Amino acid sequence: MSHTDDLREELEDAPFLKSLPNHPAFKVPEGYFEKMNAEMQDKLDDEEVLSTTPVLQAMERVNVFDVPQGYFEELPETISKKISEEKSTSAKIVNFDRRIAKPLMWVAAAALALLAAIYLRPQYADTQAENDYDLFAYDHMHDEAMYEVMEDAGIDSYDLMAALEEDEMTSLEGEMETDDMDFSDETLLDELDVADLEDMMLEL
Amino acid sequence: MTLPIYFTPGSQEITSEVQLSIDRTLNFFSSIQSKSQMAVIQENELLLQLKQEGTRRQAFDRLIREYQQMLYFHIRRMVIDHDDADDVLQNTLLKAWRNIEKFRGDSALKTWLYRIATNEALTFLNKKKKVSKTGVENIENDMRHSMSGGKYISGDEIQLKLQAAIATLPDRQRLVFNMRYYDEMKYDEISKSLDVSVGALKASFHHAVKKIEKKLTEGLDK
Repeated sequence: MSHTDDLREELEDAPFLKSLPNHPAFKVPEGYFEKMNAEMQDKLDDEEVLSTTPVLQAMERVNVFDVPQGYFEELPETISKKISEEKSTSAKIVNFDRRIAKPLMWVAAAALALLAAIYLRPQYADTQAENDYDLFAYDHMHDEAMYEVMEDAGIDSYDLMAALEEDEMTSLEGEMETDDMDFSDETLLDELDVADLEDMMLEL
Repeated sequence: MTLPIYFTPGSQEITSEVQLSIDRTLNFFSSIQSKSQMAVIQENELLLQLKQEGTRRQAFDRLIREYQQMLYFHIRRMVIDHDDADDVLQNTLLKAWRNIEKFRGDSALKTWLYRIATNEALTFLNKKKKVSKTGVENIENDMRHSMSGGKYISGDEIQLKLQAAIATLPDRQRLVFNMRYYDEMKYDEISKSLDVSVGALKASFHHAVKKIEKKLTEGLDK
């Protein structure tokens, strides 16, 4: 880009400056202006919403949540210990597997033989069906009843669910899956109550 | 720093003062520009260390120190109670550790961590609601109660009233409100973290704001 005639005249007393091309010397990251425009638009939208809510708009955005002293200093160490514990537990399981793998094969073979014998005896068939029915009944047990049974047995339902979820995590591939995170537009809209929908209609 | 491109030898000498002034100006602008580049470089370096077995533990320790506060307050605003937030945060970090090898870097590390934390917080809240024999409404009452007299909570009356109003929002609406209002995340970032369209997020934020304002002004007219 070269200087205009007017500017060239004004720069008459500054020959060095005049000799410089007036290229912009600064570069911006790719897509910077597009991104900035989108962010500005978002901010304007928020401003518009907040301008209709004077009490919220006037409030200072403060953090009311405190943490125990030293919490953030200690957390990395806590996690590091848990990682080490996990590592040593999985290592023990591998060693255990190797040590008893061979005897287990014999136990499995014996169990298979026993199962085959039971299956071939007709008088056991009815008993087996009853057991199947019991399992089926547990499958259909109401959640609350299930929690009561678990409580009676001294099982912490949260721990159990957490353990089950650990299994789910092992099947993750690549990025986190968000199957149980239903964030579809429909779900978000479901969370709007009737008053919200009426507001929306009025705004249109 | 010199100006090798624009300076033509023999045309005119640049005095040391002018040079200093140019240097300062260039340094100022390049520092602004390089801040975001620096963050990208640091994250790439961290990711590289996380991929290599020899440096993974140390790099993960760095990751925790870098992101723990951001993740903690994101979770805490959802579950309210410190002990619950601590449990959820520890689960989040352990899950991140178990899956860090598989992280391909398609999204920013922060977005990925937010995603795990959000997932964990929502799972925790859903389980809490399922386990509670007294129902969802009571959980919400508990949360409001925690806001007024809970451990590790400070703030004046109006701030606590605001938090109690936020606690009445549905989980996902509360999440969107917190991420936008407190974390000041861009809609684009929230959209990537939650896998929701920007339009739906804006609608959600809009209605959350209206509901909160209504709660805050309740009783003021009387």
